[in-house]
Amino acid sequence: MVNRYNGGRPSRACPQSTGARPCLNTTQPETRPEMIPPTCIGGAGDCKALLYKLQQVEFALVDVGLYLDIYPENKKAREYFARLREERETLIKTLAVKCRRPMTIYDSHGTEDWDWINSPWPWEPSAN
Amino acid sequence: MWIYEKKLQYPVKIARPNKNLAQIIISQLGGADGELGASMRYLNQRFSSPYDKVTGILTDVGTEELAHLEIVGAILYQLTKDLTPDEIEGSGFATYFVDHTAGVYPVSAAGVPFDAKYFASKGDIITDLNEDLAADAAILKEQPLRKKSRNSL
Repeated sequence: MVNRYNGGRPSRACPQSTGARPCLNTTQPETRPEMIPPTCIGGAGDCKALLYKLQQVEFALVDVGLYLDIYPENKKAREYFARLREERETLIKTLAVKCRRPMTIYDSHGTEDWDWINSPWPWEPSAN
Repeated sequence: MWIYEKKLQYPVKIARPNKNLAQIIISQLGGADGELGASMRYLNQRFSSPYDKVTGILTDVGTEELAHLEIVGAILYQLTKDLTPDEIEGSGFATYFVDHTAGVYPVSAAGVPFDAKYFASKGDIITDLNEDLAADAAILKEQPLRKKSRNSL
């Protein structure tokens, strides 16, 4: 898809799955052992699914967070929040490392390139 | 401070541009009861809130309204993307296009630019919360009207 706001260059999306490649970043060795284990995910479709999952998890986090602002004594809600927060952290890491889609500027691993501006902008139809 | 999260709170993927729909939806961006007014309302009122629970919810709801502002912006961007001058000419969107082309700019459906007069911040929590109720009640009241206008498009 051509983006008319970046000089007509094609928008950078997640790398496409070729089917043969089980992982996204097979061309680059895993240089960050502190990151999550290199679970193999298939391609752009998987990145979209991960983003969609993150949107679901954060939607729930925002809602239960608002509830906790008013009912902070609710232990069940606090535990639900903690469970969702852990799930969110895993998704954020996977998206940043495997999909090169840093959610915040602090999640960028752009030592080779600056993936903060190379990953798709959220308002583009292709990013959703 | 705020940290930008590079995703929409809810996905937006519009198949066909629709200038007439954009002309109505733009009120949710820069109209009297739009997301810009909502976010600025909560985020300014919270400074004088004397209760932690209320300060917390004003902060978090205000932040969420900013996410809604971005969703509405994305809807408008996609609805008006790749429109040709021929498609715009003669439509209700033409008067907006004169000043802003397909740029996203906060105005009401009637073309009035956003104004801080749309919300209040009085330094009194009861007064402010009543204003918040009035603002959100206005949205509820307008729902049947909006549904009607959507069906007529």
